[in-house]
Amino acid sequence: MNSVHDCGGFDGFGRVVPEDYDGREPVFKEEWERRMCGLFMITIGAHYSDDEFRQSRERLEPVKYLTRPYYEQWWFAVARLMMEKGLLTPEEFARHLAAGRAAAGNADILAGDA
Amino acid sequence: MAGQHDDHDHDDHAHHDHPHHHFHRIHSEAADALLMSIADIEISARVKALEELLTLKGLVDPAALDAVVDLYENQIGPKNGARVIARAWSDPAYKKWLLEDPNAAIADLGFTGAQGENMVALENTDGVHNVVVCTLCSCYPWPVLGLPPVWYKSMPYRTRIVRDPRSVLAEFGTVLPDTTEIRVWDSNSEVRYLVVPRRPEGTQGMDEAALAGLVTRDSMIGVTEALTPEPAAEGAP
Repeated sequence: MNSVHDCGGFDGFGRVVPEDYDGREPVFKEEWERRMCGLFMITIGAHYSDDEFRQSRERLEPVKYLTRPYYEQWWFAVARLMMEKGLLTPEEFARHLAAGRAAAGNADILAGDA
Repeated sequence: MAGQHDDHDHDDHAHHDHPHHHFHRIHSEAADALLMSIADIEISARVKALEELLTLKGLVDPAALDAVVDLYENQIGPKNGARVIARAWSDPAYKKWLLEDPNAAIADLGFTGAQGENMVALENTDGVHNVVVCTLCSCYPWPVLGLPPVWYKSMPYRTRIVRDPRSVLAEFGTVLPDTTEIRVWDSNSEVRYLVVPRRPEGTQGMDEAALAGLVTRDSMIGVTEALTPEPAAEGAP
């Protein structure tokens, strides 16, 4: 597939900025990154292949590919594959997400997003 | 109108002969619409919902998830690779084995598993410096280095290291002589690379454990060289 992921040699992305020195960075900076990485690791192989995962990430809309954090790109890739394979439906995911956020006291924020 | 008609015929045909393909495309469009509609909801909530729903459906075991995360967060990491390099520096026969049959040599130290099935070891010498990237995504040798750092997965590194490696290495503090050839290796879904850094000066007589302490993650990716020992570490007079 031909898109922004095939970026070797592109100009304009600036300097490489290591976030810390050589291995002392935390493996995950936030809990959701840890959970997303784990979700990927226990669903790959069982429900989709390496190549399907990679292609799913590459199909992320290019602006989001360039601007969303790495493990958020994994979320898009895994959620898409689960829906495409019929293992969960978009409707039930939307319902579950809304219910969870309402339970967490975010109902007003959800309404604001819509 | 003719186009529409043709499309309709094609869809009927596809439905008849390849029903799976047809359903897959519908799933894909619906998935895309939903994903884009919720893309700005906080990611922590979206990850939580995915984990919960897959758990409710019996597709994910949270305990297994915890275990695999612990493995990559606390157990598998660049200390594994450092042991491989220290052994190679200490034992010429092992180094030869590592360069000729890296899968076997690395497995001999107990390091095997996902994303390290087809390893290639790249030896740095006085004239050749190797550095590794994955321009297309984030391929990395997990069994020996763990999960990749953020900068390895970043667009600046992926775009520039293949085009201007000497400058990128300089930004990591690695200034190589103009006469040193730099070889950039682009990882892929099958092949993963481990750089064997040059053994630093002043390390004669150091045992493997001490040598492993000089082998950093970044030196095994190839953006830096191995550490040189602190003067005190060279032994008391």
